[in-house]
Amino acid sequence: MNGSDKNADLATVESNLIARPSGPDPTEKVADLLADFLKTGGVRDLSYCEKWCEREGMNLSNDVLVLPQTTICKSRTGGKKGTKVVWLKAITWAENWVRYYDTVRGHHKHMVPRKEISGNRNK
Amino acid sequence: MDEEIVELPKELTRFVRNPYGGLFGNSVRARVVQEIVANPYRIHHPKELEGMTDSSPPSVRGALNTLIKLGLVIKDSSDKQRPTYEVNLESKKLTALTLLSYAILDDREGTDLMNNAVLEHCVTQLGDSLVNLAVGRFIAFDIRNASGSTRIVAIQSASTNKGVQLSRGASA
Repeated sequence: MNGSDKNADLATVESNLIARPSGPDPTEKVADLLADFLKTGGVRDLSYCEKWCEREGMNLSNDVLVLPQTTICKSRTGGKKGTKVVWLKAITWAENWVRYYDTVRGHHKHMVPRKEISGNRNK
Repeated sequence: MDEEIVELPKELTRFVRNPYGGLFGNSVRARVVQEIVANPYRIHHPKELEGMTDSSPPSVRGALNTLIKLGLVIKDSSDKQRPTYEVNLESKKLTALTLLSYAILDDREGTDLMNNAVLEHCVTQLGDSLVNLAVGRFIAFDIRNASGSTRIVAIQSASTNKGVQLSRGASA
């Protein structure tokens, strides 16, 4: 980034906050699972992910593992008898899409809840 | 098919079934904490938590009771047969634990999740205070090129609208 970029009119580029990130779109529902991965070390038991998807009305193979293997893939620990897991490989890609969908929804911040959220939930 | 499954790098295996990479051990309480912090907007049912954390009903119940006492979880007993549990969204411990979750991934991957979350926190939670205290405000935007996108965070001057870059996120 050069000096002129640093002094760019930031008000103009503020609208880019909700611009679509690059890379494959995981969809909003899968972005919720990615948010979970970002808070849990990026590796989850395969069985956990299956339960998670089932609870959300999704299917792990059809909805999540169809994404490019460079982003998220099935994996296993320690050889053929190891634990089957799902491994989020593209952390920044996931972060960008999680932020994008949170921004679009506007009511669901992935880090800190806004006060109005808890207010609505208590109604 | 099994043959197509890639092997997880050894350095990542300690993150499997091990909350916060083992920072607090692998107790049922740590597993429950990780689960609810990762999904703070969900209404949690004990049965689901048992399955998600691979723990017994009494141990999950015990962990939840402790977390209620610590102010991280709120119990809803409107259905006495099937109580549910929600994260106390007002608890600052939730914020701190969320940042910790990101920090653990950042330390391993060299990413910038925690810093981005801190900056977002400043903008969304402390915005008004910051504007009153400083001469500008935090602002973040994404710059994209063929190789991916980069998050830039800056302070924008309240009087001149000029910006000063503070940090640069990792490229996608």
